[in-house]
Amino acid sequence: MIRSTLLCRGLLRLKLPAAALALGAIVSLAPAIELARAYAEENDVLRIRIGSDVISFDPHRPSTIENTSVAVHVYDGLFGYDLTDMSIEPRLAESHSVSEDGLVYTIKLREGVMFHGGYGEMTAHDVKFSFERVMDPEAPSPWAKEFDGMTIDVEDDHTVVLTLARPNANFLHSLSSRNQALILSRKAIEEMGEDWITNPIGTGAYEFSAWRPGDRVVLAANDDYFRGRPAIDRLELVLIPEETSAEIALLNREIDVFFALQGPEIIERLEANAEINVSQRPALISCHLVLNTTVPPLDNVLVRRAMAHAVNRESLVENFFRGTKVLTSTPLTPEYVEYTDDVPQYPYDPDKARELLAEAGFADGFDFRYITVALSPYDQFPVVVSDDLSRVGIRVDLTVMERATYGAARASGTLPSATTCPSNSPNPDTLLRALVHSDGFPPGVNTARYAGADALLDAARAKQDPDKRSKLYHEAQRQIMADVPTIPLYADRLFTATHSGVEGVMTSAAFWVDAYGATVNR
Amino acid sequence: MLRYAIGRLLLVIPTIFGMVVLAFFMLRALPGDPATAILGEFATPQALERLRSSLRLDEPLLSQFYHYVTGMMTGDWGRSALTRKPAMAEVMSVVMPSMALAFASIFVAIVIGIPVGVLSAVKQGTGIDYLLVALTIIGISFPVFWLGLITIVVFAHTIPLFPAVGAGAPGSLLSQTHALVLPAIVLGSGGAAYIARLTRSSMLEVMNQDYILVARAMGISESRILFVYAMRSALPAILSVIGVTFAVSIGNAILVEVVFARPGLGSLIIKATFSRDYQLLQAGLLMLAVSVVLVNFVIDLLYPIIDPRLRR
Repeated sequence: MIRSTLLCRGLLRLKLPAAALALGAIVSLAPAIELARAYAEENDVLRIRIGSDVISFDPHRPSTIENTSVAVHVYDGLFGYDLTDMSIEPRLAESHSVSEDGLVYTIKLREGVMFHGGYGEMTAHDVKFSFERVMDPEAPSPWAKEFDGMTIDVEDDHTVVLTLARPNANFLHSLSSRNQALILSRKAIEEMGEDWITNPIGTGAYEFSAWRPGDRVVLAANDDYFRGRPAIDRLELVLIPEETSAEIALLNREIDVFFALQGPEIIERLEANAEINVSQRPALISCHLVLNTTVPPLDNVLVRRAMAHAVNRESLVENFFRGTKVLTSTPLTPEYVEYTDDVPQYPYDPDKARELLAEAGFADGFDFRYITVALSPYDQFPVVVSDDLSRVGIRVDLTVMERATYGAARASGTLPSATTCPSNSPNPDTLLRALVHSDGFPPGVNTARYAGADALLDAARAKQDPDKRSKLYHEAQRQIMADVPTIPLYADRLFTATHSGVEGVMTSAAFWVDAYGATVNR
Repeated sequence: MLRYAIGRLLLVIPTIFGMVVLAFFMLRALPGDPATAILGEFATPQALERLRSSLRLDEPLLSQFYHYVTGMMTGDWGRSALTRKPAMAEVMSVVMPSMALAFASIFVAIVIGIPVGVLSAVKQGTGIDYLLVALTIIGISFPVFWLGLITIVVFAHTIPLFPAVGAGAPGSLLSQTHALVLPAIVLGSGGAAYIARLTRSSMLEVMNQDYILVARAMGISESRILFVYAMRSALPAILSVIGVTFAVSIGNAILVEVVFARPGLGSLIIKATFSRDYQLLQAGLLMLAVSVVLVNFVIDLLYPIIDPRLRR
């Protein structure tokens, strides 16, 4: 108080406007910018922006983009994806063989792979421990279905035998995922108890170093990594929720990589900047307006088809998203090997929609509750979709729910509709089973309560021959799109902006960032 | 004075307890199931049951409350249901940047607000007065979010004086202070405007009092009249608005935290709310309440110091 009084007095005497004083204070701090520059120019660090805080270092728990982006650096799985083409390659596994009936997988493990922090060599016992942990019905892992009641036998320290309950041609996908398939250290978990979750121990290219909630996760290079030590000493995943702030931080080099940017305007601005490289890849996420097939009038397939014709998806992708998303004809995205365009199509046709509605007995339209979640952009594009629907006479009541409320409401299975962008695994079975198979009935995300493609999806999973399997998936997609339990609104694309001089940062079509092979040249 | 202080302190305890009770029951009135929010929609019923029982969510509300209060008394805040980190440890890790921001923004508000208010009162009816009043209206009405982005663009990019994001390097006070400047100015600007307007009107009111006229008649210098006689009477009102501004600043801090990507109580509480992480949320809310109550307690203690009439 005394200080400010003195300030007042000085101010009055000198008759200086307050603005000049403030400006003076700012200019006198100018040397401090040197500090920020020095901080930002360390050569051995790579800073990657993430948009939400990391929630858990337990990879077996529900995944988020951020959790997975940490997990891929700290842990490894028996198999993994080559991110250039999403093909499966061995990691902790050295080789594997499958029995003729497709039920028994014998996996030989790589020898001499060490866990971080002196927790010893990774062995078949860690594999058994990790997978049983996922399958424990009381464990907090939602991925048990991926392993579908298999049994795990340790043959010797470096050989593990997995016996499936029924044939699953997609099983190598289940062993490559960056969730349930990651191998934890049994010793670390048994010794640390609950504390291991904030001190994760894996075999990955980077060791966990620090987590500052609300700020960043710091990872340090693993000198003994079995695929070779990464070039960059330290990795920081920096939380910057606001995209405009992240854009400036990238331009200022406070971060090197702007991962998963969404804003079309920001993408356009960064693409025009010579110092920034913007990369993009089609992703494995599709976003849906899910229609509950058990609630009138949505139980009438004509009504659902009419709604599909009523939505102008081309305009949504081109105008609302400014071309940053792509169209998809089925719940799978064109990025899946099993995708097909040869399915019933629903081009934008309001007249056809009205005809179908009239045929179904709703010539005057009906009341429709469109339910979505208060998360950008899911609280925005439904406005455009609602407008399309209302043009054919459907009276839309658009309800935006807060996140946790939405989660609980969707899990109740009573919602007439939902906005859902289901899991992003390269395994087509994971996505389709979650969204349109009775396995995914609420509390899962099959809020459509649609089971019409169950038989085809089960048959596809069991078929070992890849061509025959693909044909069955095509058949399943045709069946699904004939019944329209969900309207696939768009397929996502993943945009990542890097500062020039940063090379080798890989992104996955399943939305995670992998900096193992990255180099920085400032 | 001591009795006054003790009386005030005794009021602090029921205030905080009331806050604890309110927070506890209001959280439980929120729609949405914490177990589903934490484990996701594919969790097995067994896993949900187990989590509910480990969080005591399957017990009656009063029993939950009893365990909560007794745990609190013994310093056991439980673990964040989401991260499994001890809840209080997680809260403490963001308290420093949060408090630094709150106090720095109050400092900015005072340093700008009081001189502007005094100047505007002294120059009442002149161009300077109108200009300053207009500026304060702008200061009050600018959304913090927008102001933050503009500030980043101008002072972190166009003129690269300050970092755009973050709270500075841990362990480096210089770097942390450096990173604090822009957020403090943005968050403090609204408070500065309030304080300026209040200072102006308090000063105007006091300046019309007879005793100021008497002081002038006795030939006392104008600056002495202003700062010794007038200011002193205007201070209690200004002080009380500072207390309110602090509470508002802490509430508004979430926006500043998001724009400048700073860790803080605001973002922590929002994160905990979205995931229905009761333990974390309760610890965070309590920390928030305690800081607001303590600041107001200190302000209460300052009243009798600056206003002798209150000492009796």
